[in-house]
Amino acid sequence: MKTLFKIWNNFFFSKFDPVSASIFRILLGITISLMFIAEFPDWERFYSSDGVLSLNEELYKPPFYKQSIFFLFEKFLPVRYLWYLGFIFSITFTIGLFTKFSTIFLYVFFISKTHFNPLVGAGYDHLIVVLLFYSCFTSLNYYLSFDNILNKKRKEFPLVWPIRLIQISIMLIYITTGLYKIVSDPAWLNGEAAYWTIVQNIWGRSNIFPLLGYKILFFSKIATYFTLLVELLFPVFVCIPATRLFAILTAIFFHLMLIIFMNYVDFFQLSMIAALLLFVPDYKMKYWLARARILK
Amino acid sequence: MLDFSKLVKVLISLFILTNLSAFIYFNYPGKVTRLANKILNLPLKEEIVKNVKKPLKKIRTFLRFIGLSNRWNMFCNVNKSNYWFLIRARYKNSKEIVLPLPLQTTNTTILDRYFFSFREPKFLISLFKESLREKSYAHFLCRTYKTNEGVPIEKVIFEYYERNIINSKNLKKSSTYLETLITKEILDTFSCNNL
Repeated sequence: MKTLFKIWNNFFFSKFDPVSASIFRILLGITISLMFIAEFPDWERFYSSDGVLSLNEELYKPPFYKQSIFFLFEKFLPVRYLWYLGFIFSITFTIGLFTKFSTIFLYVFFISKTHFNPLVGAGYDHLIVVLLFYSCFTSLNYYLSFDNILNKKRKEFPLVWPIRLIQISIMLIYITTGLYKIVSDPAWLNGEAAYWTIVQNIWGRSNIFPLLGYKILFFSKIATYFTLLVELLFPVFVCIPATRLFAILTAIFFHLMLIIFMNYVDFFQLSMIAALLLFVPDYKMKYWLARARILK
Repeated sequence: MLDFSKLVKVLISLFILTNLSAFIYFNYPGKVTRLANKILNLPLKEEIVKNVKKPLKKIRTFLRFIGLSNRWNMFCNVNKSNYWFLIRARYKNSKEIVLPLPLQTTNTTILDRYFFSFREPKFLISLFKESLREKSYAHFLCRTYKTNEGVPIEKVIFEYYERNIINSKNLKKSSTYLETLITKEILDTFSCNNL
């Protein structure tokens, strides 16, 4: 029992050098900023009481919409101002200015968005909510941040438990979605899942593929089994120090491929890539950043 | 004397365990529910069962509220057909037009279609799962497109189109990925009168 406590203690309550966490912050911040830009034209349509859900009328009411900052804010100012506010905080989060406050604000903002209009809430929103929620408990501004420039006093390294929770969440996401695939649809076992997905008009970039003809089935087998292998084996290989980097790079490659071959899932892939950076050992990340002359 | 740092560690550990349990519960609800039923169906006093169920429900609602109730089963069932929605408005002069909404206007750029409209597919898929949601959207459309060339709107029509993807066995003989037949279904029609 004592050994178990010791392992638990070392795993969750040791201190860590948050260099990878800082890079995670920058990439997640860029993703969130891009998301804000993409949402600009449809902001009022999706997030005002007068928008697509007609919340002013006695019709469909999402369960938590009254607890959303959108609902509260709209009583005083047009909801467009929330876009400006959210965008500004996505920038301050990216550059590491008032990082803690920006993280908490963005978390509240994202959860409010999904509460106000759950019909537009997708996997990327839920993933970003999880990432921001755990990020509220750690310090993401240790490196490459304005907070660090403004406050030269060297702080102590933070406890690792919030990062561990993100890492465990990511591993569980892979395993869960991999297992669900195996039991839900035979197309995942016979290698045709990628074919159906890529050719499909909404999610697949089928316009890339008309030239392949039936040879697409060969490509589909590779892509389908590669997907299952990454999702089921990433959590195993990332735990073994010797294969960790290989697992991270393979998973990043997997998400980049999804950006190329699929529509409307880019923000999910970018957020996953950002989260994967949290698995990179700090010495390795420092070495890469030093070689790129980003860190001394 | 109370060791503050130990207390903090215990609290954080409880927090960690709650988070991990929430993940398991929301992703494997069948297994967890079966196990919970097994435990709760033991000859326990009704009062005890009630006392356990109530706070569990509150915890579940709270986890939903803070955004930790996600189910990660993306693309587990893949679509075997192409499908799209078409939303039309009928005006009082009997003229019907396809509303200029994202993904159904043809004169858009790639950036409009794939970047600025990134929320549209998920929105439409969630919308057509419940009639009351459709009605809410229909009211929005009635307000937004209330006249066309001065003629007031009469109703909004939601249509659904489907075209099967050719299965792998027949793909060798085919020069396209899609079957020729397109099926059409009118999902709902909403009157804009009295709005």
